Amino acid sequence: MMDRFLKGLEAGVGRVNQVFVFIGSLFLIGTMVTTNLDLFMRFVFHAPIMGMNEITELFLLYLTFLGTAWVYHDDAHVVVDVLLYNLVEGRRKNLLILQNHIIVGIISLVLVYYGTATTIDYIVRDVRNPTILETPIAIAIGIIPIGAFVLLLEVLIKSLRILRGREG
Amino acid sequence: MENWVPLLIAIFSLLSILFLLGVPVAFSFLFTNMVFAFIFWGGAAFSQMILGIYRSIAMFSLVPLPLFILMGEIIFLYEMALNMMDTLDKWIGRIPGRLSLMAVAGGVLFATLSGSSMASTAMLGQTLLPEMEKKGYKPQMTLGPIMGSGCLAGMMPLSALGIITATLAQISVGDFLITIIGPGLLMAVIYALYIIIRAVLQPDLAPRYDVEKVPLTTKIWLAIKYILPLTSIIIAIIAIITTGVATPSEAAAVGALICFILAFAYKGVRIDILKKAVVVTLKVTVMMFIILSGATGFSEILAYTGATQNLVELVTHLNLPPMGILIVMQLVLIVLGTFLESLAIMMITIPIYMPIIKTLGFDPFWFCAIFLINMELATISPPYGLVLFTMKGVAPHHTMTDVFKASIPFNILDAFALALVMAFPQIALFLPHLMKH
Repeated sequence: MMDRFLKGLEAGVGRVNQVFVFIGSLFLIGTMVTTNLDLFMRFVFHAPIMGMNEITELFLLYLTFLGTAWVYHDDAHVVVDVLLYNLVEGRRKNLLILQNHIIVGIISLVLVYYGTATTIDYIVRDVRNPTILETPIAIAIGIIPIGAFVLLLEVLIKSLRILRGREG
Repeated sequence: MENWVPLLIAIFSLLSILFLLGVPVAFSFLFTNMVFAFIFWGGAAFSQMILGIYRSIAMFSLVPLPLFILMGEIIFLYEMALNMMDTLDKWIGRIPGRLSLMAVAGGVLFATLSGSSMASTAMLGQTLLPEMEKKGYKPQMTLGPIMGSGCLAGMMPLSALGIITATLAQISVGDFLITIIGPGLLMAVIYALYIIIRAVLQPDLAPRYDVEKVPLTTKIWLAIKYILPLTSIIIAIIAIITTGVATPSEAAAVGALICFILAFAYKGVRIDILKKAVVVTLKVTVMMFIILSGATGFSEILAYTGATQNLVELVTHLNLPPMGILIVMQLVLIVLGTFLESLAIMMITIPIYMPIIKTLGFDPFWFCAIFLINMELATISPPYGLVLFTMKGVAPHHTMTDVFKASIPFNILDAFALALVMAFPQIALFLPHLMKH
């Protein structure tokens, strides 16, 4: 039962990560394209595209939170594996890893809860950036709880794997 | 706050414990921020944290970071770097320590196009190490020069660490990328001199061998085909930034676009390579941006406790001349560099160091250049420098002890370069001053 749940969760989160990485990659390329387009319009036609920088900035924020869970899944975050991490082995190491997952889980939980609450608050109050596009801030910060939620699921998968005696 | 000392100790203790436990650097910062934000301001602080994360990442000045990494990946995966090294091989004559010098020359060229010391070391290791070993070079003249030269990537204009340093220090990214050229070239010259002297004194470390003669016309044609286009990109980027035509972010976008066009011209559109380059870039960018957001919040917490301001006052009231304080600061960085990752050191120390530097009246660009040399030193300092592990990955038949031993002379050379730039600030400041006048 538990194994089936874990497998289903792994498959589901894996698919979400794939979609997020694809969108994140598009935003990465988009960063290059929009910046070049704006420069070209400004340099050649003396007519920069209004608010293009703002859109590029949103791309940066979005690609970061779209990729956070995937980077965590691949254990690609920088770790200072100086002492404990390298010294302990076997069951103790698994407990240490589990404890680290719990810490990341707490962080993602806070980001999901307060990210959602802040986003809703900004939607209700219609708070906007004091810029040319006057983009609603909720559009920007809304990606934080979404990315953090997938990260939370990733943490859950990794923790369950350890508890089930599989590799963490 | 009056009780800033215990608070500072508590903040750093928690961060250190998380580091030691193996919690990823980014999450160690975020967790520390959350704990102390909650203690200081209660639950309401978390909403501000969300906005803080948004403001620390959605910054147009950060655009060069992913785009320079993307450029490096394209150049590496499309084998443009490999062709560049082959061409370089045809040009370098029969001189002592030939292949080790090639590592330095290749390191400088590749450094201008790749912002990552690890990528540069991997590229140099993959292309040069087999040939070096075939010719009987010893680890001191293979692993050492490759690691040292790989680290030049952090000291040339498209340096990822350079962009982060400038962003954290709140100085102009464009001007700073120009500032590091002088110290970067100085390091390359010091490495080259060391290699020649060592090869002359101990010829068995790098045996001389006959070099196949290549007609001058072939050499020129290969240089035009493989070196000129790549060097043109970097010259164009620097020119665009310095002439004020575009910001560093826009220049990075232009550079990346040209890189794509060049890659397509060489090998056509290769979806598999493009996909890999974009995915790797995305991974590194996400990792760096999350750390950046955590570190920005961390510096805000430090500022709130009054630790930053009080540390500045404490340091300025020490009975030490400003240069003495600067030396102490560098020694602290060297010690931290032996067991901490460069990014983590930068995130912890820059928010504390920069106000001190400004109070002491030092040029922030010069200081950041020195800081960056120190960070490059950290990446090759045993036992935890990341480049050491990259080298081991490229040369699995060597022991970690071989890698450590080979890195030590280059640690000393980096420290020497650091001392020179500290003693002669013009090495760093000459170029930016020249550009401005």
